[in-house]
Amino acid sequence: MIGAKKTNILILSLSGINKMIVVVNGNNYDIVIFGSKARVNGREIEINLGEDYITLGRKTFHLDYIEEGTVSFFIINGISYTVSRSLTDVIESKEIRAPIGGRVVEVMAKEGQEIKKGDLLIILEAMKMENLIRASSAGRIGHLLIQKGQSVKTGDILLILE
Amino acid sequence: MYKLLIANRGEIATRIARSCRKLGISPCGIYSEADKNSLHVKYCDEAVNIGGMTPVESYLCIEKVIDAVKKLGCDLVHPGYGFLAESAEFSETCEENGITFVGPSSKTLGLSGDKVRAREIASKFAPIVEGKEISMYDEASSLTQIIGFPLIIKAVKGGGGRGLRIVNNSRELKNAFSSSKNEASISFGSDRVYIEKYIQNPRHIEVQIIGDKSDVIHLGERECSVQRRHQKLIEETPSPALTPEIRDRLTKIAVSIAKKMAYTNAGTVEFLYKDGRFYFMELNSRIQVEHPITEMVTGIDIVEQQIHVSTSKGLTIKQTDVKPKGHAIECRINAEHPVTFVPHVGTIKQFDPPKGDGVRIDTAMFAGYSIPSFYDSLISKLICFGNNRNEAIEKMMRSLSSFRISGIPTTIPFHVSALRDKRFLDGNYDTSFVNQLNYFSSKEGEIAAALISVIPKKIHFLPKNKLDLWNRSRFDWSKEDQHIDPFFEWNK
Repeated sequence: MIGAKKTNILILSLSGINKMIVVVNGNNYDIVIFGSKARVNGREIEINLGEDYITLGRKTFHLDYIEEGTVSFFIINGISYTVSRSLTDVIESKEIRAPIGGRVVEVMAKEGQEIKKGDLLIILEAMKMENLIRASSAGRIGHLLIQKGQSVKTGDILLILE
Repeated sequence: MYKLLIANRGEIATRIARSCRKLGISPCGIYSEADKNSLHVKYCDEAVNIGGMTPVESYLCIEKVIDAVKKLGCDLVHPGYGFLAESAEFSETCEENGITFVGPSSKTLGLSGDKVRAREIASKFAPIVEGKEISMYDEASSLTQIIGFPLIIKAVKGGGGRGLRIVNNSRELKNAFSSSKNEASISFGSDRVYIEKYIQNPRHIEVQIIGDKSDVIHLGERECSVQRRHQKLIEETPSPALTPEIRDRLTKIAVSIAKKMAYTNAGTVEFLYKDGRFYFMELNSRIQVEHPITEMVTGIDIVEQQIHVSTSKGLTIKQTDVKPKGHAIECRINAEHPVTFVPHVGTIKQFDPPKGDGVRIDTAMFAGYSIPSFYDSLISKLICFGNNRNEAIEKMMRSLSSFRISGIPTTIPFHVSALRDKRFLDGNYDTSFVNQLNYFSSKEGEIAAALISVIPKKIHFLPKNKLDLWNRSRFDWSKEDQHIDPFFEWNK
């Protein structure tokens, strides 16, 4: 059927997205990565990582040298950075974010609802496809942050689990 | 047409080749087994593989170099810096074989290479640091009664920091004395040492001189106080420390010392400068790594003048032709960790030097080049000229941040930090500069570094693939056996 909407099923991991704390040249950075975006100390940045560069928003940073270890050493745009990541910095976040930008066509999930693996939570229309967002494991929905008909961008929080 | 053999490698070999071409001289080269793919070979009209890997097996081997000169039929040989540049024996061998050595005579080299004799001559014109040659430990011990501590032990035939010992108290003296003698003997074939009062944290200022049989002139001074382990990292001219009166005195003294030695060709008279007083340190009888800054402010091609002196044409410039203007800075970019300065070998992935008016790059590097482990770590000299010091600093800052070298660590972050340091900006720094340096960091760069460290490296290729999937809007994912979680990689 030409022109008909295709259906895309996305099963999101309920473990959410890990939050990491990274120390760079003595300063702490609190980082969450989702899709092509990152939240650094609460500020969202569009990122694009190439083989030898990274762009943050419109700015390009050249990765001149990378030496990875428990303490990593980078040279970026001619400036040196010492980077360490504590191994205990993984904090489980219960957010579920939009894997792709689009319009929310249907919201099946309700606040306070107990869900089980495979439950259909949200239908997101994007790129002429209906994306069925299903739960990959059981849990309970704490907050629902979107409504039917609303547009969302990649990385927007859709719901938060308790 | 003259043929000149460049008995060196790396950037200085390419630099010498450039002046040869300008003068219509055919540059010829030598290369070691480890340097088969080196750029300097391509700068030469002809080159001979002299074999070997280490300097001793190759560029330091007088016999092999002389053989190459004969094989290629060269009239002249330019030693560059390091290797055989200050070898009286090499200069003498050239003289015996009728080859013109582009440098001082073997007699002058014998004199300048003996630091105690050079000190003696210089002491007639300039203050020298208290001290003398010492052969027995007992003498050293009694000398300390006069000069006190700290003191420094140096090899009479030395250079490059080898044999150098700084002694802070009498307990350290005995060991330092014997180990310095040992190292001197191994490195220079002579265990002669001398002891001087150690001037702590001086400035290091040198005067470029050049002479022919009839005259010696100076090309101004260079400030070389930014050093680590007695090796220079940043040089600038003119020195921000000198008043016109002191500059005048210093340059005149340098010329007098050189004249007294009947010095010919290019050389450098080095001084220590502290609290308004200066002391003669040594005379370096070679072209210096940092010569380009002098060329930038004077417009004089020092290598060209060296060749003129050697081909009996003599200097084509007089002292009155030397009218330095503006300011020039050189940053030595080494393949080293920018904080620990540990040398690093490896393959250069990207090599994209800055360009522009008043920006000079002396290098033999290129993308894909593998740095051999046998030679020094200098990979590029970045020289910037400005109408004044601020302009030169700003140009250097811009050039450093747009200099893309990847695959190996370089000292660029050090230079970026040094040029932002208040002491450097004020022109108020000495040889302790590096130890007290705070490395510059940028907030945006820190965020970039933080992100790179947390994004799994396989992601490098993932976004593109995923984008492809997403872009195929007619792709029916429901037919896939496996459901795709786009965050799978990040969530792992």
